[in-house]
Amino acid sequence: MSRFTEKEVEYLQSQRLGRMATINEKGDLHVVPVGFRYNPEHETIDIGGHNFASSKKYREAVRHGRIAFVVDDVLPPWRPRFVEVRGTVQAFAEGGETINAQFASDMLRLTPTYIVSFGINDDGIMPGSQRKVHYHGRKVE
Amino acid sequence: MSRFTPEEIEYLQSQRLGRLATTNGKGDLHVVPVGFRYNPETDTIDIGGHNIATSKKYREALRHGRVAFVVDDVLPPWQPRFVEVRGTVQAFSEGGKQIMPAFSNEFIRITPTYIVSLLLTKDLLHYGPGEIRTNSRKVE
Repeated sequence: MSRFTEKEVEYLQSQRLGRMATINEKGDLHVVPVGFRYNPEHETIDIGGHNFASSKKYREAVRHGRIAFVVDDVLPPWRPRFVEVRGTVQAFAEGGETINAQFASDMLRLTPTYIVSFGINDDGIMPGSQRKVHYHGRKVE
Repeated sequence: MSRFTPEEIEYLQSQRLGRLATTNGKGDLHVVPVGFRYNPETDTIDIGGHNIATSKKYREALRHGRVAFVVDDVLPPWQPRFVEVRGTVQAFSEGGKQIMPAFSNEFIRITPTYIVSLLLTKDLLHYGPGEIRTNSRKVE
């Protein structure tokens, strides 16, 4: 059984950029856009970049061992949707080029422990509406 | 004098969504899209939402006192741009509707302590192998 729903996978595969949040040892946060790929074999989010291993996000992710990651956009006229993935991180010295041919070999693999999506599996809610918001949040293993 | 450059302010004012990163007491991270406004009076980023005061991001931001926030997009064919703001957080019980009329009154204000931006085409020129020149600095 997949950690992601079919529609979440479809959405992740339709987008090229996500945003990755990390934290340093002093508790300062950092969030930055990153290139990623949904890896269907491992059901993970694989994240890479140019000179990736020397970046602040890479160092902080590996040191802390946990990150959060979100892919989001807005459909016209104003229908926001997103998939957030929280989880644990492992570094790999090979494979970054499978995310984007120009990326460094080094990459990070995010294994989900918690997934939240909004506006992906259903309509979510329109801003200003009194309807209940439909978040799809759940622990995963 | 603003903490932000004129290009950064223009960019922030052209975008409607950013992403806010927070942390809980256990070191777990959270990142989520949010509605925001650059506040020219206080030179801050004001963030609101529907029922924001009951949200995880709001609770975590206030508890920890620090957040990170990024606004980004990609111009065709492939020119990514962003402004990242790291800083301290205060909560206000009135003013959220100035960000968006449908939002709650409560909102949170980020006072920047560090700003990083990548906005101009020349920033993307490679000065070395894969080197990208961002505008990064501490601010007060």
